[in-house]
Amino acid sequence: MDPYKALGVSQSATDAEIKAAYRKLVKKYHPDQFKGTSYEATAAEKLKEVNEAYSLLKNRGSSSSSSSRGGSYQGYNYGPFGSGAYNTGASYAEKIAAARAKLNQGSYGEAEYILRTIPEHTAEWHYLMGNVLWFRGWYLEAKKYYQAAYTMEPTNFEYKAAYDRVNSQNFTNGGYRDPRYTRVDSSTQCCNVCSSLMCADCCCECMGCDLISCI
Amino acid sequence: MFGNTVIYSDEMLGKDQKRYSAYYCGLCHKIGKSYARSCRLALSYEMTFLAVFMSALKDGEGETHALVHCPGNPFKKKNVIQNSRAIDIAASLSVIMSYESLRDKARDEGFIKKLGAFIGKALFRRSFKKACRALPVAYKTVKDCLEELYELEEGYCHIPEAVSDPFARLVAEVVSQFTTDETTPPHEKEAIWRFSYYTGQWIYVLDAFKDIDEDLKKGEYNPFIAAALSQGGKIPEEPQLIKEQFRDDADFILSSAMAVMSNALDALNTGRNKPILENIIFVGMPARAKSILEGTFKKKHSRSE
Repeated sequence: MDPYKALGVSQSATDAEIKAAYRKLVKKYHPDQFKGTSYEATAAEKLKEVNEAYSLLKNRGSSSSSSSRGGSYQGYNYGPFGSGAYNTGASYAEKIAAARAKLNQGSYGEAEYILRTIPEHTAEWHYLMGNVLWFRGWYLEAKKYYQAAYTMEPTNFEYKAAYDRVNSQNFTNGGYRDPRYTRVDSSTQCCNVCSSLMCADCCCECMGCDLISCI
Repeated sequence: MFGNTVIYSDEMLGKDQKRYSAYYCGLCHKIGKSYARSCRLALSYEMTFLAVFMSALKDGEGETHALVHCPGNPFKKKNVIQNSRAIDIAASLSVIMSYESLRDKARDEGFIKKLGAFIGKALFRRSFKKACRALPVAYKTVKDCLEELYELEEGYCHIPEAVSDPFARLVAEVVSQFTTDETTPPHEKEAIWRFSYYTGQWIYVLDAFKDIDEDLKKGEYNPFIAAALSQGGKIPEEPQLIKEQFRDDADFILSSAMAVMSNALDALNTGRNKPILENIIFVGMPARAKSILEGTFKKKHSRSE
């Protein structure tokens, strides 16, 4: 997807022009206007595309964009735009390689931009998008992409590992689902063991033998 | 605000309950003293939570206790915490956020609410200006983040994590501004950022899920309604369908947020307030989230909105 084309602006458009174009398109495809009509679904799709395009372009200017870093403290390194990888004529392999390189560098914003311009949504594409969202700290979105990658290529261990990682995150604190039980003081467990043994010993002694000789 | 970052008092020691109450009453008292008595409406559990957190990072340095009159209960004096930078900040922030939410209401709600919002704005304007003067950098952050949030809401964003991002960042930036400086070690800065960011995300997403019924009825924006539209091609008639469809997603976002918050909390030294924060994150918040997601939550009394 070419974000400039999706918003109907040229590559040299200013931030103000992009914002204005976005607002105009939002008004055009807003669901309030299409509610109940047969165009509701198409308008929703167009709006999704417009929102995606705008989210890619609105932070182009800032170098350490705080607005796309999400929950990650290290933040996105948006970096300078216009380098070779954004040439939409580049092949799938070249773009994927460029995206991987950006991810390794820590430039998640740029990696996302490259990935979004790739029309072929392979398993690998989903996996790399998952990585972008994982580092950004949007774990539900990351899970969706990892799940798609894993579904498309179930034999790939890398994708399975990523999917497992994002799902186990909720349990890193030892069964987060039922927190009260994990926070129960386990020292009472020792008391239970000891008192059970003492009771068992008493019962044994009543019947003639001895479980614990010193009690 | 929304009132979901609550304590679970049954699981809390008496000493911690009293300490928490001292923060809550202290915040109310500070708002009334520094701003206006009517501004006490800005009091919320969220701001109390942030005050407890920010104070914890300095382990209540310089804080004192006092007994003051309570306008809510004239026969009882309340124990409040005073001389707390954390409470001062939370007080100013409460006023700013309340005013901004009134401004939002004045823009797009129905006529009667709009009128109420305009009147409220007029009453609070002076206090608001005073709060902005007290925290100029924080106010700019709030303004920028809210502007981004409104843009995403107006754009009918269908990704809950994306639309909650500006709000989450707002909380993270403001808390970081007041609790970190050049001398703070990076791992601490990171823990504070992540804790605050996911607090904001949790607050926004849970409130969005809670409001599905109301927003569907009024035809207002809601990230889950938008997600239903983007997945199904049309806005469902029944709010129950949307809730069934997205309950697991919402639960995943909320649980992930709480998991990150608990990890971040472990990395920080929160002194005497640790039991309070742990109670809220491990018991209060999950219990409230569960009841809202399952639809069993009933608002008993609204002390703040």
